[in-house]
Amino acid sequence: MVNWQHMAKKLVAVPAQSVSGFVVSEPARQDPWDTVLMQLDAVAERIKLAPGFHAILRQPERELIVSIPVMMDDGEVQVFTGYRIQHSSARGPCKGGIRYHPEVNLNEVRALAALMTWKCAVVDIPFGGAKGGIQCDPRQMSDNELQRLTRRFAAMIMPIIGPQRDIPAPDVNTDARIMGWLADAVSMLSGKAITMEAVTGKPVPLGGSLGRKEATGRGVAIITRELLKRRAQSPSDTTVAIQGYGNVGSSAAMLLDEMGCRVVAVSDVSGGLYHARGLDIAALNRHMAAHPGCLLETYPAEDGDRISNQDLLTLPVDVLIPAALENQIREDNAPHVQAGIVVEAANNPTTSQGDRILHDRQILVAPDILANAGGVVVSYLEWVQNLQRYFWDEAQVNRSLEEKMVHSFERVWDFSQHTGTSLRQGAYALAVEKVAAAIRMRGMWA
Amino acid sequence: MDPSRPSDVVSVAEAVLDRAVEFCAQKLNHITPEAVIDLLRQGDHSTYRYWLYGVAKYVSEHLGAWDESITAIYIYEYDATPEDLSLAEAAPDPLIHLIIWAQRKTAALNSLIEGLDRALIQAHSELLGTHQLKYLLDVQVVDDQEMNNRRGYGALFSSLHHRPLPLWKR
Repeated sequence: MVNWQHMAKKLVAVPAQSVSGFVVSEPARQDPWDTVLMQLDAVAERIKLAPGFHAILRQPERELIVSIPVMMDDGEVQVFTGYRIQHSSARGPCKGGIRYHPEVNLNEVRALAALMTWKCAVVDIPFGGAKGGIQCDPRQMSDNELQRLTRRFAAMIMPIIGPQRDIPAPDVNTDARIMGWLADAVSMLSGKAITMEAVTGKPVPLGGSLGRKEATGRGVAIITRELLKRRAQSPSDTTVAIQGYGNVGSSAAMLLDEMGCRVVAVSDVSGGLYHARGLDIAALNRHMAAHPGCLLETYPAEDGDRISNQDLLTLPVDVLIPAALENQIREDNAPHVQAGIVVEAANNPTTSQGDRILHDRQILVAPDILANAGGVVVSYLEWVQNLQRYFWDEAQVNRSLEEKMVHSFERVWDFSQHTGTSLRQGAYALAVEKVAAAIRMRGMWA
Repeated sequence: MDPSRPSDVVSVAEAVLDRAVEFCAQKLNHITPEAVIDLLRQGDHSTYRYWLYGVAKYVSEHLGAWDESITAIYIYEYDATPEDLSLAEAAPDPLIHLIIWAQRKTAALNSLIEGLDRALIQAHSELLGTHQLKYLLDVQVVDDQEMNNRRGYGALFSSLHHRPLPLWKR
């Protein structure tokens, strides 16, 4: 029998949000929600968005904050704060990841939810935008604690999620395993065998999609190919440098190599490899597959010169693909970028000052919101397969991804050409216009 | 314990790895340390992630205690997108990516990190019976100025997508 008196005492002893217990705090950062609103305001002005629609998009549609009690392995009860924010459902059920991090906060989740609204609109998938998070340090928690936290959180956000309302997915510090727990909890609470369409990013045996692993890299390669077409440049005459050789970077390298491009440089945190005549990507990937978890530094250096991550960014190549950390192309190195095309596989790899310099130098930049959207497109395809209870082979998934990415690119390209804006400005403007159009067509019930 | 003496660094490295195994055992339903080592040798991803985190945590405690200029230490993931990291089948990165926030960058701190890394690599190889890694620690030191101005790796603290996790703070 549970000793409630004892438990109540423990509840008082462990206050909510005492996740880290640290005293030192980092200098304040710009509020991400303010940044997102500034971006929206700029776009609204450019496209002359009606003030009423602008006002709607400046507020998340629905916000749920929950206090999640979890029995820890030592018998203590800790209470965690969780969020699920739906920015807009104008174009369809909301879609967005759930992250676990000690510093997750309301405005961060709001900002990420709005960015999901724009991303889904850019690639024209019938979703709105959402995001969720739990303020916790997942690395300090056991497998069992994480599972209890996830299931309880699922129960607490159940009133606002579901396959036709809001479909969660993995994000920072969450993975397919956690999505499996979430899907199971939702299924059990709704009295169903399995409601697989309630969550994406699940393990394949639970209804996850084939092709998901390479989806972001495949999308990057497709966007690169389409940009080359617009510049009337043949892949066989194109040299490519890729910063970051994780899942996205290595998939993009493999596909661009297959398309006939010469991938002349790649790098990871251990540094980079450069060979002016092109690296043997197939051999490199075989090496990486044979040595799981190893870094590029373990690849024999005969196939190229060792270079630094910073050197890679300014190599004389046609296409530069930053696929690692944020803020890699900045005010200090943007003047030295020699590539004519930059495809942003990472999130925010270019600072605003760096972006301005690239724009002034007439370097074509495929923005992250479009270039790395392959992952969210295949999340959509996972949901589609789950709804129809019919699963496609990988070739079918890849074909559908290709169609979506090409179509989205064409729309953004044409819009930018027509309005004389950069691809980044065009992508955001197009996204906001699409969401506003959906609101207008649904009519105002106010 | 004097960390400048190599023999002490070696014993610290061994102790760090042992404590990381215990940490891992506790997080995985209280299995035995021997079972953890078996899982690590089999390349079990979940075990390896917990273990690397444990190593990072105890390394941070030692570094923080040894060098008074250190304000805080964080662990972060080096990869492109959250989607990239969230794929369960992806093999864990063998490097522990740390950001040390120190009042200033010093040769003494660099030397301390290098010495500890060498000792950890040796102890790692002995514990898991694998080849020696080139590095185990990937440490980026940011000073107060970089942190305040969000320059270099200090920029990650403004990031929406790459969020360093705090390991140790003064």
